[in-house]
Amino acid sequence: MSKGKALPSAQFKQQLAEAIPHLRAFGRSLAGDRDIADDLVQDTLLKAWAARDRFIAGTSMRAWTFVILRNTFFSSMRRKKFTGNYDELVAERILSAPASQQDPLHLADLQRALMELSDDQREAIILVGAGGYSYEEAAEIANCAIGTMKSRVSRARKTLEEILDEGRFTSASDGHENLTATALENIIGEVEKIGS
Amino acid sequence: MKSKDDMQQRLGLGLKNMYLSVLEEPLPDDMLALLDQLDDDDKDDKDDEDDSASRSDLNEQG
Repeated sequence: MSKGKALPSAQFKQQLAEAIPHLRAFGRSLAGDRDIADDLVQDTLLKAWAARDRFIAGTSMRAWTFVILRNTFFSSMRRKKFTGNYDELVAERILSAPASQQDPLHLADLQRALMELSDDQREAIILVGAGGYSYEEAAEIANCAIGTMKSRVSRARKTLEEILDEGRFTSASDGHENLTATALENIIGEVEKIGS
Repeated sequence: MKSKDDMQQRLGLGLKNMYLSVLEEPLPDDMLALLDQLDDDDKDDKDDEDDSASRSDLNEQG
C-alpha cells in the first residue's frame, strides 16, 4: 500500500479553515449547545493540527475532521466533559420553509427531538439527513457498517417523526429543564451502557 | 399516507435548514485566530531548528 502525500502547511490551514463552519454545524447538532459545540470545534482544530502529517492530500478534510470531532465528543461524553444539551437561544429561531409548507418545523422542536435520540442515531441522521453525506461516507465517519448506518438513520427518522408528529418529547415532563435533564439522562445512560 | 410523506418532507427540510443556519453564521474570530497561532508556532519552531542547524554548521566549519 503506497503512503499518501501530506498537504503543505498553508493548504492544510486553508482547508481546515474551510471545514470550520461544517464542524460547527455538526458539533452543534450533536451536542445541542452552541458553546459546547464551539469548544468541541476548538479541540478538533488542535487535534487536527497536531495530526496534520496523517492527513492525505486529495482526501476529504471535512470527513477527516468530522471523525476527530465525533471521537472527541464521544470520548468526552464518557468522561462527562461534554454533556448533551439544548440551546434555548438558538432554538428560538424558526426554521424557514417553502410557502407550500403550511406548518414549518420549529428549530426548538427539532433540537429537542434530536436530543431524545440515542447518540448513534442522532449522529446518523445529522450526517445523512442534514449534512448530506451518503450512507457510505457517514458509515466511514461513524466507523460502522453501511447496513448499520442505514438502520440507524431509519430508526432515527421514525422516532423523530413520531415525536414531532405527536408532540411527544418526553414522557416525564413538558418543561424545558426537566426535558433537558431527561434527554441528558438518556444519553448518559446510553454511554454507561456502552462503557459497561 | 400523505401526512406521513408530508412529515418526512418537513423533517428532511428542517434538518437541512438547521444545519445550513449554522453554516451561514459568521465564524468566531477566536477559531481563525487559533489557526493563525498554531501556524505561527510552527514557523517559530522551524526558525529555531534552522538557527540551530546553522550554528551547528558554523561550529563544524570553525
